Amino acid sequence: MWWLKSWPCWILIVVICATWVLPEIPYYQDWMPYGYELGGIALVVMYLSFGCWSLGLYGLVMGGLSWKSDSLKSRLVFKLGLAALSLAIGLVVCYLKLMHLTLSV
Amino acid sequence: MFVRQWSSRPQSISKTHDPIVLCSKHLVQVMFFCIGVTVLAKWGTGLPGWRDVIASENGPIERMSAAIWFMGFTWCVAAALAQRTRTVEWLSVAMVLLLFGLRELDAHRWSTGWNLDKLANYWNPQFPLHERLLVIGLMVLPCLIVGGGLCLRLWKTIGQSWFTDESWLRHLMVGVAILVFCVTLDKVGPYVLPLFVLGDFGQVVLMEIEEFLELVLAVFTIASLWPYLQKAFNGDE
Repeated sequence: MWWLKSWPCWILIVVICATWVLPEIPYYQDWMPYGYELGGIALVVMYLSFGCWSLGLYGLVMGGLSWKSDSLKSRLVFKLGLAALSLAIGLVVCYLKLMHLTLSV
Repeated sequence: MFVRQWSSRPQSISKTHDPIVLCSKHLVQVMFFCIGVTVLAKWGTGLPGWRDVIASENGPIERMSAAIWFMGFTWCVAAALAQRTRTVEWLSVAMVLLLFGLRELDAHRWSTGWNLDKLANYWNPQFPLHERLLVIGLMVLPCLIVGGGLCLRLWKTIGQSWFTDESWLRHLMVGVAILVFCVTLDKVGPYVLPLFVLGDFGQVVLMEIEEFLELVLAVFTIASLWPYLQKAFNGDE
């Protein structure tokens, strides 16, 4: 439980996303911001989604774990987590759309 | 374990420890964390040299730094929604973190075609005068006005906290010191380093130190904000 309440746990998710997930995503290239018209915006959108994944998982885990102890607070965190996860999925879709748009021009 | 301390509330931290000792301890913890993820990245990505991992453009360390700034942005926006009494403060911090993230990705260069933080450009006659004035009028001044307004609000909080000896002030000062050191290495280094006979290896080492400290700064910022984020998500006013 103490590990889940600590910052390294949630920063590690973002570190893993930036180090191993990012180079594997479709269309990703090192020179993306300069090489594609909307590449820079798409890259920022993808980075924002990493933050949302981390926040979403935090909300679900912490909200879920303390669901019984304090319903009002835990539900707020849980809802925040759900919203962040939905946003993360939306941002990934947005990234794919932007890259598709810029490549189809 | 060091992470256990960060799960406690900010009030308990400032009451039970000397702020200076605590801040130094947190900095060491962040350093160890950053060394750990750097070694992990070298081992996990299979890149041949440390330079490729730490000092290369768009390398793992630079990507991590940017991702952590953007993470800070999203978490602070969420805290602004969760803690309505501190919305402006959280949004101000979020804006600062977003700017750091965009700067890490060189967004000002690819989005505007202008290197905003290269001061020499502003008096370089190779660029037309109207272009330089446009950059100042449409990009630099609006940023300064918005940023200045939000910083004034934060400054008020800092001013109040200065006299009550809040523990986060030390964290802020350490963060500013790291930032100043990184900017000096990045901007002044190329002009001053040739005066010292460092050679290519020495310059690469300095580049690696700068990139690594940028990662330390990003992690240290999140680590410093962590107790306050927890407080915001716990619904405390």
